[in-house]
Amino acid sequence: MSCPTELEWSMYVDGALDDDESARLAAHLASCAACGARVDALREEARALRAALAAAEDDVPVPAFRPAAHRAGPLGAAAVLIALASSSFVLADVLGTLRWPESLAWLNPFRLSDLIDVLFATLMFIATEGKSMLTSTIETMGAAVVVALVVAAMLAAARRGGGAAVFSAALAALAFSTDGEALEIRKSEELVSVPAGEVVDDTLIAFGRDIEIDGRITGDLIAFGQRVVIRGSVDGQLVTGGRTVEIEGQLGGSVVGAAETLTVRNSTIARNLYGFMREITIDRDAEIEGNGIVFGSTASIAGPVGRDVYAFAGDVEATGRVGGNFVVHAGALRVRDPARIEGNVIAHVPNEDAVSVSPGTVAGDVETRLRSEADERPDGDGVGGFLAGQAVRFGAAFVTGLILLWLVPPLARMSLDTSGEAVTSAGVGLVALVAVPIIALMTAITLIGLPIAILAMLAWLAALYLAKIVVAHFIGKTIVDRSGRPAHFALALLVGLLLVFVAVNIPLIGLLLNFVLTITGLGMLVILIWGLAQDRSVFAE
Amino acid sequence: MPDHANFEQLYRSHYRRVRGLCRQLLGRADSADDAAQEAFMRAYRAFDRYDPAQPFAAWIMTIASRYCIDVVRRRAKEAQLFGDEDVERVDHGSEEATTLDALVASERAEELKAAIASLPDKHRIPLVLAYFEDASYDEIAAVLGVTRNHVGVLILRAKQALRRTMQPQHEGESK
Repeated sequence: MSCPTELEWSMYVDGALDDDESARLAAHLASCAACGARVDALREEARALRAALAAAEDDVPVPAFRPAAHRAGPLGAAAVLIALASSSFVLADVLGTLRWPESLAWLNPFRLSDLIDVLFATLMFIATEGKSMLTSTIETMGAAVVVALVVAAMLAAARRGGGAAVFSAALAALAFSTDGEALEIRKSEELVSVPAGEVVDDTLIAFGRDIEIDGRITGDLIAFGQRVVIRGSVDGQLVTGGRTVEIEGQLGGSVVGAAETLTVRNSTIARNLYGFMREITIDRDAEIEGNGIVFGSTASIAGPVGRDVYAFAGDVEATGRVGGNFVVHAGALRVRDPARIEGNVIAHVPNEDAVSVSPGTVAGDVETRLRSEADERPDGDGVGGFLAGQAVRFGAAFVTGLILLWLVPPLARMSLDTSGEAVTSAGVGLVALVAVPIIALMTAITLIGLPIAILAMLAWLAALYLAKIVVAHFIGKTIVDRSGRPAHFALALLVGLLLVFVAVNIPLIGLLLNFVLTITGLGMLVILIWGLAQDRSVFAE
Repeated sequence: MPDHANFEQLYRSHYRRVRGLCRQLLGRADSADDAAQEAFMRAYRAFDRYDPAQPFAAWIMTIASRYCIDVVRRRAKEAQLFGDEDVERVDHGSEEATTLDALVASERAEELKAAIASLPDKHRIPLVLAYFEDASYDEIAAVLGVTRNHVGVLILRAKQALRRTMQPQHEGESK
């Protein structure tokens, strides 16, 4: 019989073996003198180690226990952060007054080129319009999930015959997600068309150089091509992208479009339009019954929009009817006859001259907010509307937070133990806030990098939205944990979000808090992701 | 329901032992006070959750060891960040190496202490938990997030490393 290994003996001596194993080793011990000696030596060694480690700490003075002083930690951290933020605002002011050579202007993180301006406007949009953003995200995500499911199912089916089951499961999921509709995919190097008179009785996904839809789609339409022309009708949502997108049809749902030029004419969009493009034209005979939300360098809106319009663009011209408010972040805004804005016009522009409104075109107020001024929240329909908006935003943030914490459990365990860590997080967050757009812009200049840049910007925007949620959960956790019993992360999130929502709505200070919370959360996210990427257990061999 | 007023007393009677554990776990004395303070701070905040039927010592020692292990994990990550990793010594067949004996413990205790302190984190921590805290292998495995057998390996490696450190000088002295 061979002798047990040193590891086994070591664990035996430390009483770390199961009873069975321990008995087996004890039996061996009775008949093996060599092992007996080894066990004696190991016992002696364990005693020696205990003796060496049991060092007397009697001479160590016991410092006074001051929980109150320690509790000031987070407060101290907050004070430091606010001081930092204030000084950065002062710095921004100083930098803003300096004259920069035009070609270097984009290096100044506080006065970037128009492109970055649009991006920051986007950030503000997310902060103030979380609900529409969420709706659009959900709509787009829905489409993406459909595509991902189909691709996964097709791959599975191709790899092995038995994948048919997966395929049908995916189809079942699809059917569930699109109200009982099925799905059809059309793909061609040249032209993909649905001729007039044809009815596609389900959701259609179309890829091609040219896509022409003259018939009717009863489900959603997802169309990507160099040129996309929709003259027929789509009963569901339209998600489209291409160099030029022309919509001349009847749309039953919302439209999410990304293109170099997007033209909407002679059509009706029953819900919202989300457009990301260089040039967007909404013709006189095009009607959007919901909201119009457009990002681009020039936006020309002549058709009627049933509800609000949010435009983030270099140049905005409105000559149509807008049922609600008209909120613009732009280099220049012109409202001309026969425009009729039923609500207020809120223009965020670089200077007073950039706004030109023909008399009699606006039923509400025209409010010009210069970009350098501290931005107040548009309060829409007065206090009630404001509170309703906040409630929706709160709900959206709460749901997003729940999903986020559920998907990424390490987020729930994050902590900032010292003011130093809080400042570090804020610093990292500030760097990420400023550096990502700059790097993305530089990457975008090389055409190959364009998709990466777009992805990076999307991730950046998502992170900005999530940052405050992360911080809110952390704040909530700190409070809930203090009360004693371990609480569910949902409670911590709820408490934290409530506090954050109240805090960021305090006039003037709220802006500062908002900024601090955003960069801190962003930093925490970056550090977490970095940590996860690096994580290798110290104890794994 | 535990009484916060008692906490001060518990703090005073357990501080030294907790500090000792922190010092051993962290491998350095300078941050031991901070770590012990932090452990008590955490215990204070969570004091409502403490079940007075259980010994306070075990509770506070668990909090302290978890905190110290977190600190070490973070430290290791920083080291990785700057490429300052410990170079793992080759583990030559130490089957035959003699164990540390009582002589070592009594005459060269200080040297042995220093040798323990300079062990790599992943070896020192399980060793300290086993021989200072008298934690079972199962408890150590739970805290470190590894299997019991893995704990055995780590502790054996720690012992082997200590034997190597102590051996040559010991022989030199005994001549």
